[in-house]
Amino acid sequence: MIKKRVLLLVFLLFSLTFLFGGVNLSTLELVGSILPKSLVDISQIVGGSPQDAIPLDSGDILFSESGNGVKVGTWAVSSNSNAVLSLYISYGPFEDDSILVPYTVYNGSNWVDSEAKFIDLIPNELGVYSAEDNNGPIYIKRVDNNSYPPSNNYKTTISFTLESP
Amino acid sequence: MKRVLIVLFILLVSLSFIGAAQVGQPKVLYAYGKIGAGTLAFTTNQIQTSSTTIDLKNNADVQPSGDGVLIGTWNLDGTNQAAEADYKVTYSYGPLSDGSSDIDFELIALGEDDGSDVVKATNGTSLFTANAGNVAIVQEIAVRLTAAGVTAVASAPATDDYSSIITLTLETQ
Repeated sequence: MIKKRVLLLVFLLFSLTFLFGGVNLSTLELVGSILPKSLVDISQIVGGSPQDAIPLDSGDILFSESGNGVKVGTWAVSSNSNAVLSLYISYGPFEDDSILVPYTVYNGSNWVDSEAKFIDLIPNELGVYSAEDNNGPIYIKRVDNNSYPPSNNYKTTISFTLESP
Repeated sequence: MKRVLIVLFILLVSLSFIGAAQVGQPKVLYAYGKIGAGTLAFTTNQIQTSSTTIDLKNNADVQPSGDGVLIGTWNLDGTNQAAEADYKVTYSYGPLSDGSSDIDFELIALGEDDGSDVVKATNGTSLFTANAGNVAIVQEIAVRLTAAGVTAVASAPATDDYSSIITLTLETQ
């Protein structure tokens, strides 16, 4: 008995919808999102292989030379993140068979120690970071005048990490 | 127990806000460096020349009681030596001679032994150690007459032609 009444009510409601067409409103809500995406691009200029090894005992890399050292590469960052972003750097000395050749890094404006902030990134007017606004050189320079054994296999790793404070 | 868990949770949440958040994966640059092949040069630098002959009779320094007359140096110059190494220099020489008269002399390595002069007879040696890396060793060499040399000078004909060749040989130990 109740079932029949419910069915009748649904039928009446359905019929009324057609009788008064255009009176009812319905909406669709569309929600979009853009996930944050960041790209750190490191381009190496020299020293990518033992055959292209950077001379550590001559030229601009020497501690005794004036200037910023040798440009080993460039960096560029693009990100649509709305967070404050900085690029951090981590590096150790050149090493071959337990022989260590220490050096320091120059970002084009400042000398930067390992495990330190390499540079603060600059957002554009939209609040995002473009590679055009956020790029620069990576220089390295020795920090002593010591002599070391000959080898083409001194190797170092320079790591860049994007961080939001 | 419940309170402890709540405090721990709050601490963990707080700490997560204190540390900087890494965005994405680190990008790494691997760079190779090289130190050039080492060089090693053993040379002499002559101070005494044919135009600055030693007056064997009147020069006080060349007499047996004198300090000797500096005639030159030997030099060992190296770069990028892979390891510390021991060397030996051997001195070989004969008497001063004009072809007919011989005058004995002795060779002195000035300041070789912690600042003290050391006389080197012919076939005498100097032993030393060169460090790894760059090497720059200079040894001053002087000469003076022996007692027999003084006797020979007293009866030797007057000439500027008394000469002797000192040969220095470098060897690794």
